[in-house]
Amino acid sequence: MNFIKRAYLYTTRKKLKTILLFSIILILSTLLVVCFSINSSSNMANANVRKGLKCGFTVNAKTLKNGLNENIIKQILNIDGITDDYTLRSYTIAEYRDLNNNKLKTKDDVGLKVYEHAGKVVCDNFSEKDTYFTEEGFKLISGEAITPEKKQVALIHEEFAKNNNLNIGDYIVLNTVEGKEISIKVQIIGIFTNTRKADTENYTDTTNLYQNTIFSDLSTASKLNYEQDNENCQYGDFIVEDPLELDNIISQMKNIEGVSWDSCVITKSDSNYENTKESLEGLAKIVSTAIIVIFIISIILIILILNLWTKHRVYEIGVFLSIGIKKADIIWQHITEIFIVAIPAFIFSFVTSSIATKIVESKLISSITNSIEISVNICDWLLVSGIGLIIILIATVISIYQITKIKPRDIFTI
Amino acid sequence: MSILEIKNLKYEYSRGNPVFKNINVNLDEGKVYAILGYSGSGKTTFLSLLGGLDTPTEGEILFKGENIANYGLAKHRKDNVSFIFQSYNLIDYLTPMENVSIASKLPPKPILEKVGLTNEEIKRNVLKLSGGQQQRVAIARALASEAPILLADEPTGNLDEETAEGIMSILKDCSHKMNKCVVIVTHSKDLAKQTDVVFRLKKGELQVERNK
Repeated sequence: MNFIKRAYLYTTRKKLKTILLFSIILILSTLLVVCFSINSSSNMANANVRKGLKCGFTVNAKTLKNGLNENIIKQILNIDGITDDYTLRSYTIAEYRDLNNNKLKTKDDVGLKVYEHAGKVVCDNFSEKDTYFTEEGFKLISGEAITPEKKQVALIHEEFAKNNNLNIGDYIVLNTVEGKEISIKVQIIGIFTNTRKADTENYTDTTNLYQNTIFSDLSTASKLNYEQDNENCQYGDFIVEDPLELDNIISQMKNIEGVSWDSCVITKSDSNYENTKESLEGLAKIVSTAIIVIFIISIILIILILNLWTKHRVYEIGVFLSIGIKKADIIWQHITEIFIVAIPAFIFSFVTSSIATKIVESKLISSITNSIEISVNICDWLLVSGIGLIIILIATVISIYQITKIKPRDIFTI
Repeated sequence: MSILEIKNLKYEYSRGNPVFKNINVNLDEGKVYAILGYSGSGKTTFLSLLGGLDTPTEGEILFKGENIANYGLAKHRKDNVSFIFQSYNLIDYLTPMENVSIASKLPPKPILEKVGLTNEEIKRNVLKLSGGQQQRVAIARALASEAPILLADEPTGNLDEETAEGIMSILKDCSHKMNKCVVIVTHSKDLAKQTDVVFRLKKGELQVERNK
């Protein structure tokens, strides 16, 4: 009778031991697979949350003259981890006139008067990505937004349009307010409104009032300031794919030549991530600790059980040795027995851990966060099964080897 | 030539305290040997050395002229000797048929029938057999190995008189009909009377008490 048959007969006849060992391995492997799955899912969720947080940084070149040019922006966008979702912007103040050089009417009944018939000109490559539109409640009510291919165009406030009888397609002139007089003719392509009132209306300079604000393109800003037909910009807002990489990306950016980085102000916009980080890392820490604890308990438990059971079989081993069965043959029998039990337990743990993860998700995780969807990852299950089998194999060999080292005669006198 | 030659055999558990020493004896096929002695006299140790379960401190044991240490103790146990223990030492998760099968590739059924087990008994769990029946299974396992030497340690120690008689009869048949060398360690003088040669282990020496 070979060792495989002996192993088969042992596991099928010693039903209680087999069921007990099967259950222990099943429970431990299920717990580990669940923990690994929560860990993988939370890592994936963390990565998704991080990506969804739209963290990034703003480069403020301070002046347009030494601003960010097309070449520098191209190099920044080439850095790994920076998305294509970026905005470029510049700010200036201009006096508004019609084509007949008449000054246009601006709102001046509130705020501090510094310049009359003037307002803030916000120059964007993509106006709809400007924070006025994304965060401060501005809304385009007619016409179209500013995009990079549109030159010498403007979006005006509906109140400014009404007061000056302006419509889409009309032209206005933007004049410098200080220094050399430069005039740029721009065509109105859209009209916006503000859905929220500015809190600081009474204390702000009249040029900053929403009603006096005009959106234009980057080339208009350059021409208005320097009579140059380029698209240098003062501010660049860049989004990174992973907030974790933010510092690394900024360091890489500072290696780009042709920019006086010392005179630039770089502002990180990762407060969303910093706020979320703690709650994301909290769950990850709990799961990592659980994995370590369950893993250690599993190893100790398996080694103890196998050792104890092997010691109970010392006479059997003695009998085998006394009839000339080789030690290796006896060790193989024990390994085969444990594999007959452990392999189905690990296979079945895929099913039980799938059920358990759903329970954990609905009863436990959902009370902490809704952003994690847990499912059993086949790689995690294979990892747990593989490591589990190796541990069981080592524990079996060690416990059986200790007994086979004893002289057969001494086994019978134990 | 004797099947087993024991030369200058000495065994000690600790240095300077020999259990026995200077044992020289030859054992032949076709004979039943009894080894008598008080508890602790070293009978079981002597049997273990013959069976390669342990190694002597000094001296050598030759099987058909070859030192068993050179032959390999595991191989000696597999090919040359088979054991019968007082506590039967059967594998509890195997049937009598399977217990016999672990020692040999011979069909177990005829051997089990030869030692007096019924068709129903040989398929039963060994733990559900009586002591006598279990010892018969142990003898059948020993016979199945086809080893020429049968070493029995108190084979009837746990059995009633009538059953012991039956077991002894099988062992004698093994020797006289199957030409095996049977060595029995026992306390029982009655059992020893039925053997061909009786040795007594006394004060570390093996003395011939009777030789037919």
